[in-house]
Amino acid sequence: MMRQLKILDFAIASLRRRKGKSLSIVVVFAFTVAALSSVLLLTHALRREATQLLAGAPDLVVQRVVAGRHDLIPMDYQTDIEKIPGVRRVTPRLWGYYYDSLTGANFTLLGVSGAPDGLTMLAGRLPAGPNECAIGSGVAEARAITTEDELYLISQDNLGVGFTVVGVFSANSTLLTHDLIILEKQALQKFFAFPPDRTTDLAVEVYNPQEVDMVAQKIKRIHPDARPITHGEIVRTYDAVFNWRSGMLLSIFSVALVAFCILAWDKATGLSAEERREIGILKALGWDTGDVLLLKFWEGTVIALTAFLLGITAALLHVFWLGAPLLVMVVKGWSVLFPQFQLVPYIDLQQLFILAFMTIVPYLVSTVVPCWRAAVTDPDSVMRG
Amino acid sequence: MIRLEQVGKIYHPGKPDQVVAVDEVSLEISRGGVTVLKGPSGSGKTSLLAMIGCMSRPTRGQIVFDGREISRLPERFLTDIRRRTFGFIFQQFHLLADLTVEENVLLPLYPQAVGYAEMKRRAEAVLAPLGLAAKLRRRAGLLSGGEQQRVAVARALIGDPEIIIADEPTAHLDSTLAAELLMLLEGLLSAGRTLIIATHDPLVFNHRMVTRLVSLRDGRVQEDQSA
Amino acid sequence: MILHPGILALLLGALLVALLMLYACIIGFSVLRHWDRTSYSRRQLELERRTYLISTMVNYALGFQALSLLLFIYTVDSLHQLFIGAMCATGTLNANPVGWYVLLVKIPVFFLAWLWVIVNHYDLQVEDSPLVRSKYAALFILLPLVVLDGWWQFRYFTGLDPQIITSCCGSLFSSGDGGFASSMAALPVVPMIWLFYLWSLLLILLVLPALKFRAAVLRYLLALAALLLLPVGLASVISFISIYIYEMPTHHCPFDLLQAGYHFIGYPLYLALFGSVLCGLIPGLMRVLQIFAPGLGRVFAGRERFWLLTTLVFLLLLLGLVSRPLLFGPFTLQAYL
Repeated sequence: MMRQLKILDFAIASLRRRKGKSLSIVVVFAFTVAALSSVLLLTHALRREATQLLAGAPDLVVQRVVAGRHDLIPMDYQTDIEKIPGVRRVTPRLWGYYYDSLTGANFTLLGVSGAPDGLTMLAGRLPAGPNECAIGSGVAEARAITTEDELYLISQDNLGVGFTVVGVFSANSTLLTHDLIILEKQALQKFFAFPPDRTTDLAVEVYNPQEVDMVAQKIKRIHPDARPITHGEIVRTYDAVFNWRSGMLLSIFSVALVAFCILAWDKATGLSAEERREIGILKALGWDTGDVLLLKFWEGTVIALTAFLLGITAALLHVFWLGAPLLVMVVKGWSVLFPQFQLVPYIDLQQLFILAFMTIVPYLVSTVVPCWRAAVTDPDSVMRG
Repeated sequence: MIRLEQVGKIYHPGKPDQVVAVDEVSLEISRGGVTVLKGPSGSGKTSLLAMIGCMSRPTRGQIVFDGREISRLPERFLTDIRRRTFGFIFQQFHLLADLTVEENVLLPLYPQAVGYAEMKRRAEAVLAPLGLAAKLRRRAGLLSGGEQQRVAVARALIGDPEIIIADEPTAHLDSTLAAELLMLLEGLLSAGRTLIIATHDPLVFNHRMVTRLVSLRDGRVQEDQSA
Repeated sequence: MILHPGILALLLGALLVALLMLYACIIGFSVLRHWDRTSYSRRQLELERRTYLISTMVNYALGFQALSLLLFIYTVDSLHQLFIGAMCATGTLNANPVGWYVLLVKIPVFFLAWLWVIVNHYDLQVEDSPLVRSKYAALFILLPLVVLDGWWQFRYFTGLDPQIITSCCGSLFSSGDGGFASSMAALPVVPMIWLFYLWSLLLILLVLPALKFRAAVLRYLLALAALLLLPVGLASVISFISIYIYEMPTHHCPFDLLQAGYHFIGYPLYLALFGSVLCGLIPGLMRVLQIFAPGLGRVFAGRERFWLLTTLVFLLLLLGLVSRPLLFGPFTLQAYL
């Protein structure tokens, strides 16, 4: 143990004496780690956000599919589903997408009636009449409007309709409400020219979440054209997408990792004359090959750990403080109205472990042979000159 | 104590640049006294010294140390014997210029099971008699020639070895420094140590402390005189 | 394939470990062919130097294997959300049966590699390294296992299809259906408790006299008992240890113990189990090797006590961790026995 500590001590001193070379490796390594960790941190944080949001999603959403495409669902499906044992409540949801040619953005229009559904993040109020609307902050920004302004949209019948903004959603609800426009239900029905006996989909609550799959099967049996989507399926799909995206990015960045390993191998192989002399002296003074290998191991580990810590810190700052400007493009997709949300800083042990494994392990492996070659210097090399 | 039996050392055997550095040398070195290996450049003194000091293995023959055959021991065992028994003073001292005096002197002790406190104590114990106690923290590269030479001697003594090996110790020194070094080396004898020196400097092999003179030429022993 | 970062890390690790071992074997082959302790040649010197490289590579490979065992469990556990019906690692492993083979090969590789490193360590302290040939020949046994591990991991992860409905530990480890796992869960609890404690006691009763007496037969028996502790211990975890920790008579999963919800109790538990097995094997193994390499006996004699005491410590830790919920936990099995 004492020997390990002393050689570690010497290794650190040795690295300090070769500041230039050590720093160059640390910087490149840290950059590689930062790139890989930014990917993992970003996707993980997004996944957590999504999971938290999805916690409020209904147990089951029932849509109708006609010729493989999503169609409006008849209201009497509601009655049929309510009769299924285990179903607590079925709520018809009326909503749709609206392409705004003015801004090039897609808005989500949602119809509400009666008492609001626990929406507390609102400055103002929900629409009470057919000519009122509440909008999300993204809509407000895109159209440069606020409370008491008019929002003009083109209806299904190609007529311009004006809605007075009576409420704007606050910034901290932005993931849910960024592109949202809430209209009074009948106003929405009229706007999209929805048939009165149809709705967009049905939100189903069950008493026992373990029974959701069974209820879904029953719905499918009663109405073969219905597509029940369980909460679990949504969560799994998001998970898979996040895995896929982060995995893709990691695979791409692994090229950087390979390049770094080649650099590391090259640096380790290219010992300067001074370094060779130093090892020769150590061997002459009673260090054996095992001791020099240990020295090289500790040098490598110190570099790797320093770079790792620096890289992780840089990634944390990049993702959670700066909002990952370099990576967010990939995650955004085509979205114009991408919400400016603040991700909650979170890092778990498993992530750190994976990152350490993916970066430190290849580095140590790429330096094994060069370190050994250096360590087997003949002890009498300093005598022979 | 150390017995060499028909020892030979060949570099690059079987190749066009083959060099027979040592050719069937038999020698016995007992404890105590100063043995000088004398000869011109290329006579095999350094190679012989390296083998005696367990730094390299012979290509043929045997080396027996205190009754134990050591010529074919694996490196880690040779290193162990070398650490415990020998202290080396090199031709060019080979100090690490960026390390302090104390760090240079302690280099041999890093891989050994000696604690930090003990290491510090030993460093002070070897440096003080050599007048370097005040220069512990000075970078070795900033020392004068004479000071460097004393640091090299201190480093050789840190493990309290019974045999000191010096390879051409006066090669890069002027006559004043050379005389100083020889005085230092003579001082080491009082502790019952054995000195083995390889040199072609008359100042060394004519010194009063020399008890045995072995002359080498072309890798062979020409003459072996006891003083 | 699911491009989960953990999977990428594992496959990368498996590739690197296989490469390290392959390279070690290639160099080891030249050592096997040309090793001659009595030779003065440059080649012998070069071979000796290469033994350092091989030792370093195998040490690294072992270290990475140990980490990858942990990472495998972690990853497999975190993937369970992608599979309908999977509640933990067991569900994920069932989604592609090759997953169990991966575990089945990782555990022996882990033990064999550790034994190699320890034997190598002592062999290098003997002047003539008597076990050189045997050690490097043993690498040729480790190599195919390591490659198999990597290959099966690759097949497992590429064969995972998130749409598959899989049974979870709940239905897998229940006593109901057939299959190996459920038969382990169905092992009668009280006899299993007796077997576990008696076996542990047997081990302690072999360690204590081994500390005092030098008889080889004690060490051989200890090694045998330690080896059998592994299946007994694992069966005990599934059969009764898990249910006491989970405080649920139907929850037998051996992986949930590693989760935060149970304070990661699985880690010290498995560490104690694996540690007892490994340390218990060493004295017996070294005695066997001493028959072929007497020099090893002189070197190992001073260290044997350490291994015996460590075995004892791990055993006591294991017993402590198992007994605590049994004796002091709020859960009792009276109604279910």
